Amino acid sequence: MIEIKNLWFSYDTNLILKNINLTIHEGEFVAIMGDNGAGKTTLIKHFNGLLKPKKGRVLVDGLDTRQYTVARLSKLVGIVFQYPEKMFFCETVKDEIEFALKNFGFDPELRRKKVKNVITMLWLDGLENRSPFTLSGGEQRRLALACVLAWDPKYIVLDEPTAGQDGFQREILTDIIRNLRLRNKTVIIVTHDVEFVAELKPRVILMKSGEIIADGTADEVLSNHILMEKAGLIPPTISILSNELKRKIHNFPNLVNISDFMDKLHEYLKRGGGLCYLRSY
Amino acid sequence: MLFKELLISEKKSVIHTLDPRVKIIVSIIYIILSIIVNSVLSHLIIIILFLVESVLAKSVKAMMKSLTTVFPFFILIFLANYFLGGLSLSLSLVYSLRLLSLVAIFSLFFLTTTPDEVAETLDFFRVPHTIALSFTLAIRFIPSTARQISEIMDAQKSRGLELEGRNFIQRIRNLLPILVPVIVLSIKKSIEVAEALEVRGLNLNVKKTTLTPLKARKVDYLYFIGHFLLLILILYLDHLKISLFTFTIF
Repeated sequence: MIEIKNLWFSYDTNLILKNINLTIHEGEFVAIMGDNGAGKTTLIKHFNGLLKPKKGRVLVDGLDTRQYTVARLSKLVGIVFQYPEKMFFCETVKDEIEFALKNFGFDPELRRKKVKNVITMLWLDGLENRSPFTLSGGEQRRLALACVLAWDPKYIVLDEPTAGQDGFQREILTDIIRNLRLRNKTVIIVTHDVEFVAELKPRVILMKSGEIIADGTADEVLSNHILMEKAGLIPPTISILSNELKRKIHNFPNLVNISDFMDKLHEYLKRGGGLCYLRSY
Repeated sequence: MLFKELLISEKKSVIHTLDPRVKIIVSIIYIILSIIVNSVLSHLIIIILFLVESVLAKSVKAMMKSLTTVFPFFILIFLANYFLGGLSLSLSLVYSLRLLSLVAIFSLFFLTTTPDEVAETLDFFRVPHTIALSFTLAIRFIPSTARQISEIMDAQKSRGLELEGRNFIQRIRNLLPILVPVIVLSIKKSIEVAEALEVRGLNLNVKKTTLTPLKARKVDYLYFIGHFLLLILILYLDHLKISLFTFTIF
């Protein structure tokens, strides 16, 4: 469990995080959302001790991050940063994945096994001996994820995983996250991609100017257009569509996810209740 | 943040608003002066002069940070010259003070002059525009490269890389995962910047114009004359070989 208690953080006089209180339980899937400068990345850097609180405490499985090194905490919390090319330095994909395993002291046999597993898991087969710098953007992003998943951390944090990714890569990423969820991993994503969050429906934490302004289910938070506007985000298209339909169909819920929307619409059409309204619409 | 003191501050002071041509000429003259003078007193006058100017420029904190950063080298140069080189106390002090005066001159110039002003000045002195621009870009990219290094360090530390530790050789070897991405990203960025400049007509063979042409004011002349008079005084003191130690047993 990651517990954040009264966390305050500032760079010199610039206050970035203001009194953050948050608990992330094991196996949870969480999205931290907000506009640029909301403090999302600063917050996740506290999870593995890259940043230490100015006031308050961050506890990872009971370990106070102020008292442990980044290397020790990283074994529990794996962070995949936004720009994967910033971490590559090895000659081959295989070596790149193995780097962290060496740092964490895994024996050679186990290292080889883990590298092989993670390559298959992240669809990197056939690229083992390629230079990380010659991979495409999507492959680099998957390699960055592979580098972290290799040591099997309990908590996985993804910083803007969909930024600059095409539709196909997003699909792959969605599958990978679903796979991690099936393995009961705690997954935390930092993003302002509302459509991606609406599709995966995690617990949503909304941030604005260093403060948490909402914490709830994806349906609750993403469908609250006033809150979304306050956080500088545009609600998902399905939510806007549901809102429009609500005017025509009595009691039509405000949904954010396309499959939920289709199910509900199908239900209404089957009942015939909303059909006449839809026709007139 | 790394190299924070190298970020050009937005503070507007009389020193900031001086004509960059005057600042560059004064800086070059004082750099030459600090290389040729050989008395402790002359160097102390130069350091105090630029410290006072940093107070006027509201950048005294950054200036002190620059000076304290090189202070270990000041001690090292002094000890090496005095104990190993067998030089006199006063000459050993001069060699180490020279470092401080050079740092003070450079710091004040870069703390109060924007890269654009430097480029304009170089253009004025007929330095080829591409060279002036390269110089400007090199200065401008220091803060962003520093930010990049910090991000790379974060990423590698998150992969279990220990940058601290007692073993010096191991610490040096651990810098490799930081240096390789920095070099690769810098090359990539330089190619991108070159392309961006080319598509914006950098290589066109036309006379470049400027939005705000440089114009010397009364205060610029006063600044120059003041420094020129002080220069004569410093040279005179140096010629007289007056040092702090003339009056002591040393």
